Amino acid sequence: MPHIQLGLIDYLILATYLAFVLGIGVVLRRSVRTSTDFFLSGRSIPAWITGLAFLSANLGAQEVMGMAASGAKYGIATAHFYWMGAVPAMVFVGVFMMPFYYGSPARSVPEYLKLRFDEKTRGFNAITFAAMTVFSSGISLYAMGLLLETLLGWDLNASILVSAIVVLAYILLGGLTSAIYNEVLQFFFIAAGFLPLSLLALRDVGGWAGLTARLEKVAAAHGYAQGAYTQAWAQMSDPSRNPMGIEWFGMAMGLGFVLSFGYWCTDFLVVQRAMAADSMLAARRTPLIAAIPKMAFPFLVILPGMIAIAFTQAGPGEGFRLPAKPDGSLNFDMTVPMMLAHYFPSGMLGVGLTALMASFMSGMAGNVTAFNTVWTYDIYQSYLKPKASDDHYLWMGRVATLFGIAASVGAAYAATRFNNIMDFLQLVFAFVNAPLFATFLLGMFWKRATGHGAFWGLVLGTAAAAVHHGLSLPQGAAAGWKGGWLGQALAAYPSEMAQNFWAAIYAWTVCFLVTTAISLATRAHDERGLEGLVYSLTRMPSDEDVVWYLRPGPLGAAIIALVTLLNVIFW
Amino acid sequence: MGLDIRKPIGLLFAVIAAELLAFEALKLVGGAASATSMINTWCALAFAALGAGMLWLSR
Repeated sequence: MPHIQLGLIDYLILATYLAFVLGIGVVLRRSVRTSTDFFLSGRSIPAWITGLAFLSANLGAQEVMGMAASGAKYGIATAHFYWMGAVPAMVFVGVFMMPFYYGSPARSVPEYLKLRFDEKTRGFNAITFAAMTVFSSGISLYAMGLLLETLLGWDLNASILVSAIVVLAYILLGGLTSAIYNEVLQFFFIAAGFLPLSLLALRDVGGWAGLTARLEKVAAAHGYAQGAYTQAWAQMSDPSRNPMGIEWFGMAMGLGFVLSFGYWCTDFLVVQRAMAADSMLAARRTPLIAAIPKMAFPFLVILPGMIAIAFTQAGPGEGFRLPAKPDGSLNFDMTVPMMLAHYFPSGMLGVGLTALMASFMSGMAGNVTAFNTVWTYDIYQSYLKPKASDDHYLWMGRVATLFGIAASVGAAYAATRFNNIMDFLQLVFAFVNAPLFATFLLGMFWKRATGHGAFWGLVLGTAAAAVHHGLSLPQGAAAGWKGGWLGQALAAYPSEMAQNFWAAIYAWTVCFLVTTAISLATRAHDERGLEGLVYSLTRMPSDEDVVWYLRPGPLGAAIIALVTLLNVIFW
Repeated sequence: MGLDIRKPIGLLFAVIAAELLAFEALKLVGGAASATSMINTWCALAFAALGAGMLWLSR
């Protein structure tokens, strides 16, 4: 693939962005005096900032590049990752779960598990989460290095090291506050970089009507039902009718319930942003504020993917075509960079590529700040050096940041050895987050759930996902990384996505049943120790003095109404 | 925490708008303006409005 030539103006825009990102870290370095400032921003940030950071911390490599690639591969069904796979869970965590996270003395999600259940449950979650964040951050770093090498001809090593140093610098200087403030800046930059792209491409394709007409030809060519690429639900009656190869139950239960709630309600990477808010009300409104732009993101990242496949397979649009891989199949991962290069002249091309880099950096910073907190509070302070001074934990937080970034760089180089590591990472999320959601659901809403039940539920739920993976295979795949490694595959799925959704459903169900059964067979917790941790034993915070439309309940209901409307419009 | 984030966001977009407009002005003077110059110009104006809005909110 020929490299894109950047002009002086493009480099100038990139340098301006990097200067502002580092400048924010420098300005904020004076505000970090205690470990609470470094890890929790002193619980002093307004809701609109934590809300945008909540959204932006999730805008990593998988989000921007991956969703555009999925838009090209699966069409508008990809929007389910937002309209069903994110927004309802964000409303649920804001309205029902945040009072327990913010109102309890817990400083992290694993620490909540310790207070609610016991030490072994916290330890299991802290270790799996820390490993997952470093791995995820490394994948993000590798994906960015690979992109810059393929697209611009930049050296892979230099790209990885420079990006790691920039993220390291601003987190070391200003801790979580610096990461959160930069995530807000990155949110605006990502929106500014991608909105013009969507508008230009949509005009080029002849609006929604033009896009629909072309995508009907694409659907017919692949043997899918008419509307398979442009109707979110209508073709979900049978897996063979849509390119995602999934039916409505697997979609609603696997993505809409287990994976979505598992990620948005329990992953400390996002929950940490809400816990930095300046009040209980602000913490509850954080995911609700994030849900509003989240609803619009399919128009920024999925639409360009749909337009890319329409031009590639149903007629030229000013000569645009997705590149092919060496084996002849389309390289969907290159959708966003190729669209940027096609539609943007020098100048806006710099803005677009900087927006892409901003998304990688915000994703990486989110992982690193979550890692340094969980490492310091839940592993170092709990098992290695309890009762040290606050200054010592602040120092350890900085060391953990350095170590987390170094480990991410190591993970990035490890990723170069695998050709399907991104799919594998998605599967790991299904292994870890899906059973964890069952643990939280029972822990927060059933006072009878016990520590032994939670621990064994998590262990066996994760094991169930692994066994399912070992006994199933996506269509056309060979036994190995993609499954079937336990011998004869008992289940064959039309796609990897369907396989992941069902892995999550099995993991959640096993964890839920095991936790329930073992809890009933073991001694219940003393109820006095569960106040503020379990719904039936906690007084929910009052918001009567807040104007009604700003209260979490009505705001959440309005967001659910809006997202339902979007589902109906694109049914 | 000692920083109103709207200021750096406003300033960043104002600076980028100025860079894009200066780039297009130089192209115009050098006779190199093209059809795609409108994309840079319109986006620069939008960024300038966003930057000004952010700076106004943070005053």
